[in-house]
Amino acid sequence: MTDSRFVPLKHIVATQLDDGEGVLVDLNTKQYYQLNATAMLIWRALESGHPFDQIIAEIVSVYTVDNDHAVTSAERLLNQFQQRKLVRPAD
Amino acid sequence: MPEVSSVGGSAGLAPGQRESAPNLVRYYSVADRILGIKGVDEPVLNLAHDFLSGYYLNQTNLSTTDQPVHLIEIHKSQPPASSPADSSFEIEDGHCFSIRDQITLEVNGSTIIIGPPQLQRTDIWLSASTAGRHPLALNNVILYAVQGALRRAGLYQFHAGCVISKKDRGAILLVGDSGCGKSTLTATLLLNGWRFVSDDNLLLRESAAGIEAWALRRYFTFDQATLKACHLDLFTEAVGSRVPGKEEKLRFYARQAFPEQFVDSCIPEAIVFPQVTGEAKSRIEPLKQADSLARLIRQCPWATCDAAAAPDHLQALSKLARQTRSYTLFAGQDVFAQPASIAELIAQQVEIL
Repeated sequence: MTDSRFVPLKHIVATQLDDGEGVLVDLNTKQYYQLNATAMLIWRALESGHPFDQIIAEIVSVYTVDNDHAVTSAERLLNQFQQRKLVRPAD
Repeated sequence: MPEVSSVGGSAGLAPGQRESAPNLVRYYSVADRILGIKGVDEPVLNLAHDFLSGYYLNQTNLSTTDQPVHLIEIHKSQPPASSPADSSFEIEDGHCFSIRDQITLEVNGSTIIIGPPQLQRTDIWLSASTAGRHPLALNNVILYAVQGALRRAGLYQFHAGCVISKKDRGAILLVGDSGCGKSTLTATLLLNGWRFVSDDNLLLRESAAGIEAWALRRYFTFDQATLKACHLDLFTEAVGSRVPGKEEKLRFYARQAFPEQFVDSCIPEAIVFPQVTGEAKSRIEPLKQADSLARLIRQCPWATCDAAAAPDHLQALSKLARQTRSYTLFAGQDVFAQPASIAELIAQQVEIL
């Protein structure tokens, strides 16, 4: 996972709200997902094409959390994104 | 879900007739935009006109500076053969088939094609069957077509009440499923002197100033018991006919009863999601923006189903969530017992913050 890079799929519309939280809408399945501020930070980083290590650095710089905890949380979220077909591995 | 209103019948709509007469076009203004309706003859155009008369779509002449944002053409011929769809799903009284940025609706035996955005047109082929020619069925077809055309023109139909407090401290949307108390609450507030845009049927439009709410339907709908409980039955001249297809509902022309309190558009500053409870006293709790946006999306199924309009539609809902404060109103029995207190409860939320 840490060597992988993922990109959001085109049919996903993301909206970030004032408090950092966000909503993703899958136009294929018509499902929508509420993301907390950390998950939204990761989604925005994926949109910007950031690699996993950079995403972890961003989380650690914004939140009071150690590196291992950030890695575990980010991996879990990326797995969920993949399972729900919201992202694909980058070419 | 689409609503229907009666039309003056479908006389003169001969199924299968060849389109030989020159096409006629009428124009309607809505929320500062112009929609064209084209048909092969007057009866077809009258059918659409009768339906639109229940809404704030006003017939207008096209000036040299105005351009219609979308054209709906009503055909009497057979619809074209359909192509394989990318996806399909059920809608009330029919199916929706999506092919890239075009959607095809089959409703009550009629066919509607909402074309790709660059064409700015929607085509309707009316059903030839007796059931499909029933006025309720035809109304349903026209409603789906008009809603689709408006979406492609950046006007998003939205089921919500909209009221403005007595002190003009901001407009409030009342959002929720059918039966959640939107109309009752709107009636309660306007009886307490609030101004109103609609009880349940609006258009959302994005402008430089923010997301605007525009009145769409000309009448409220109430069952007899609610009309009586809210004392609106006293305004006899404003009580209209039964709503076809929803026989328990009566039309109420609130603008006739409260002409000084009607406003055709506003910029919402708060959203209240009412929920009927069995509690004695109503209470109100704030909602996070993400929760509010999720609820708004749930109320607007077309925001995710019309691929060509969806990104802009979702953006409008997202801007609406960001420009407003949101609350859940747990509406108790005091809505009827002490209507002034509910108005005060909502007004406090708007005016304190």
